[in-house]
Amino acid sequence: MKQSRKRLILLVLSLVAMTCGLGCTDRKNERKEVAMITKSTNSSFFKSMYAGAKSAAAEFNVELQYEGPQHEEDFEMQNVMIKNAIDREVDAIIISAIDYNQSVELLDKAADSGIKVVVVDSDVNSDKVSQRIGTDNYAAGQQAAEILLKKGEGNLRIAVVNFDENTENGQEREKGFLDTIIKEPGAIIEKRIKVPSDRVETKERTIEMLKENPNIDAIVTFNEWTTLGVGDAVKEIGQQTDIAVVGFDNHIAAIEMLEAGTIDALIVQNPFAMGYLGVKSAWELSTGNRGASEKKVTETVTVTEENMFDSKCQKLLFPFE
Amino acid sequence: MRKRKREISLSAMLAISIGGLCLFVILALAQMFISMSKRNLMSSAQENSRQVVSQASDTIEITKRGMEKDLENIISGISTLSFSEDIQNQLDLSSGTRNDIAAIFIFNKEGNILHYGANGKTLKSGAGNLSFNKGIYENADKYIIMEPHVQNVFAGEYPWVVTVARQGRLKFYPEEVYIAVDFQFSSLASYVDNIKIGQRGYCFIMDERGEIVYHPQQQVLFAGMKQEDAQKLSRLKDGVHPQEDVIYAMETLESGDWRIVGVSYTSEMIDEQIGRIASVVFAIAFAGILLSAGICIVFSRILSRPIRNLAGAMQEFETDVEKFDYQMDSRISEVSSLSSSFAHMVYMIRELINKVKTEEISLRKTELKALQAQINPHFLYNTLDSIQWMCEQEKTKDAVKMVGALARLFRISISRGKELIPIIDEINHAKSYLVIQSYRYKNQFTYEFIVDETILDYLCNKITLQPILENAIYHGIGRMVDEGKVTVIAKREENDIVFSVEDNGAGMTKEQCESILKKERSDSSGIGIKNVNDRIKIFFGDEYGIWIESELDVGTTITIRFPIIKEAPDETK
Repeated sequence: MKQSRKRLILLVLSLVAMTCGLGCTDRKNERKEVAMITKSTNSSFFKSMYAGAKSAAAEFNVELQYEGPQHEEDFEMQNVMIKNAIDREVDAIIISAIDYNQSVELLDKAADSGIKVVVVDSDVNSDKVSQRIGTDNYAAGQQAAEILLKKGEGNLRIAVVNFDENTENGQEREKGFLDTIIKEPGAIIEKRIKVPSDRVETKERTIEMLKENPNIDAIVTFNEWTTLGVGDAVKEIGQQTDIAVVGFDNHIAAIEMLEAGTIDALIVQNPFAMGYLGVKSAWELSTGNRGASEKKVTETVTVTEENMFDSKCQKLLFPFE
Repeated sequence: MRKRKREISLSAMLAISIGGLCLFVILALAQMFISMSKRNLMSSAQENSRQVVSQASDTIEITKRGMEKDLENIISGISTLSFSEDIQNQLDLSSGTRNDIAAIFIFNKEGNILHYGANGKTLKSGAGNLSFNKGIYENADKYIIMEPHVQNVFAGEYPWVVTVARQGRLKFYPEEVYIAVDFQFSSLASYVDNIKIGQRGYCFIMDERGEIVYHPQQQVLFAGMKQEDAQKLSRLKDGVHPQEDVIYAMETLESGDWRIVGVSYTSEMIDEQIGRIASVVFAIAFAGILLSAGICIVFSRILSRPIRNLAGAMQEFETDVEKFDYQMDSRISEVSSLSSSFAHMVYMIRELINKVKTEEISLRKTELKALQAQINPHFLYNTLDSIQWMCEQEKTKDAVKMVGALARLFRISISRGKELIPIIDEINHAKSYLVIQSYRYKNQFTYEFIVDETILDYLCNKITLQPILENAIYHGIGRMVDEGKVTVIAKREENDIVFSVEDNGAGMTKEQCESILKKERSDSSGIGIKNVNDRIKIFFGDEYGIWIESELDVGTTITIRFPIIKEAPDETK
């Protein structure tokens, strides 16, 4: 009888092991925690991104923690937020980085500890990023150049107003723009200024620049706040019709200026899609449903006075509250 | 001990069959359970979808009706007014008191704004009005509902609105006009955003042509990064449509132009659940099978060990009957009753073997003795002496008689080796014997035969009477002084034959009577009465045989009883 007793014990043990195993598999279906850190949280662009992220968070049952610094130059604050996320042991970090280089060390550390890193909108100089999602910034710069050439008349004397040179997306856009403009013999880059990502400061610096360089008849600028600042500047000096302005993103005030003619074209990104896809990728990566893959490009649309009220453009241009 | 080829062990068979049965039953049940669960989950998922969509459709329909009603109220508020100011005040009031009304317009047929109320907002100059579309307005039945769009005519804001309008005749205007109300869409939008089917499912609104009116993720859709094949869906009728891994539930609003589509994912709602159920079920199944296999093995051990022991004991018994000693050891009732039957059988076999041995020995002895009797030297010598003497005395007739009797005696003794002979032969044998003995014991006794004629053809053991007569002559009459008488009676009593030998001789004591039946004849000449008794019992059973009654100095009666036999049983000895 000893042998059968041994067998009985073996049976009981295997039953216990099995129930444990079953319990363990359930852990796989625990809710994933995702931290989303953007450049700031108060622009229309990032508000849309957050709306998209929320939509995906509900769909994939992800706990979304959203934060960003007050100013879009404050990379140190971003690093603090990244560190907090690492300490909280989140499953993934979605980041739109202020500084291309200064956050790399921390993000690599996060990646090494098993946190999936997804970059949206503005990239970092790291090869441990699992997924990149965002505008093809170089192409967007090219688009800006193309529409500016169309909208402007004759030979253009162009001013470039760009924000923090350490932020990747702005630099790429400028590069795309310049590479396209160079091919056009009649267009000259007259002036390039660097401004902080702030409406009022941009306006003042732009007015200053225009006063110093009265020949400028075209301005390009690459993000939401600088667009508003440039628009304000051109309006204030009363040269809406004289200066062709191409800007980025779809702040309500910018749309108004577009309708009024102060701004001639807006390169509108799709932050909602970035936010949505960012969270979706974060979920897919952290549940192991797929591995890292190539950058997902979200389309940018060139919106002008002519097409701004088209059905499709409406949906991309005007956010819901 | 022969081993048959391809024998199966009981334990293995038991384990395999019970394990197999368990496995089959559990798998069948599991399969049934899982497919039932799947069906139930599927139908409840579909029902859930249908309900959510139905609810959403009702809510949106109610909202729509509400908007139409609001429009009517506004129209009735201004239809009888005659003055422009009054109209303006009314419009301002209506648009001011209601948060969800973004603006009220009165258009002429061309779309020019005749009056508007927008809670104090001012119109931008020169803006085309997205809330007016000549084609749509002209072709509408009664109510015009425009798909959600931004309102672009007021400075500083671009709210998403839904325009509800209709043609009407107002007192103030000479011709018919359109009265249109722009309702805020954001609340309806967030209602649709918040509709959940399961965890990942959602709803969206499309029109009959398959164009999307509102989708919670419309920005992702229009960016091309998510697909929603609304065209394909528009061809489906209202109801629930399960596709590969998605369930579409569709309902058209009562007022007809919009359709609510609910999208839910079966993988989430069903497959994951099923996966979990399946893994639990199979874990249980596996455990159950192990358990049942274990129990099987245990029980078959318990069962088969005593059976194997029994089988081993039987084999042992076969090899050596004498020395076999059976120990019973089993706790299973079926096996122990088998064991005890076996033990009993062993005992019975031993008894039978002993009995047969004894009988064999007895019969062999008889044959031996018969053979010997047939050539009993003393009897022969004496008889031949008598015959010689008779011849010398020239008593030819007596000699002839003696010789004849002797011949008959030996012939019947031999009887060609048969044990059972007709009674007539046995009587003749006895008569021959008495003839010879009466010459020898001249004038010492007389004899008489009383024989029932009807039994002569029946059979009896040979050499039954002769030993008894011998006993009667030597012990009974040989000791008498007077003339003795021997009477032999052969008769039938019901189903038995009874031989009876009476003499009036010396008689025997009780002990002598008993010892005759028990004692073997010590001298090797002739068959004793015990032998006759034994043979009768061997052939016919213990209820037959020899009885002796005797009284000293009076006489002895020896009774022989055996059944009526008409045919000899097969004597292959």
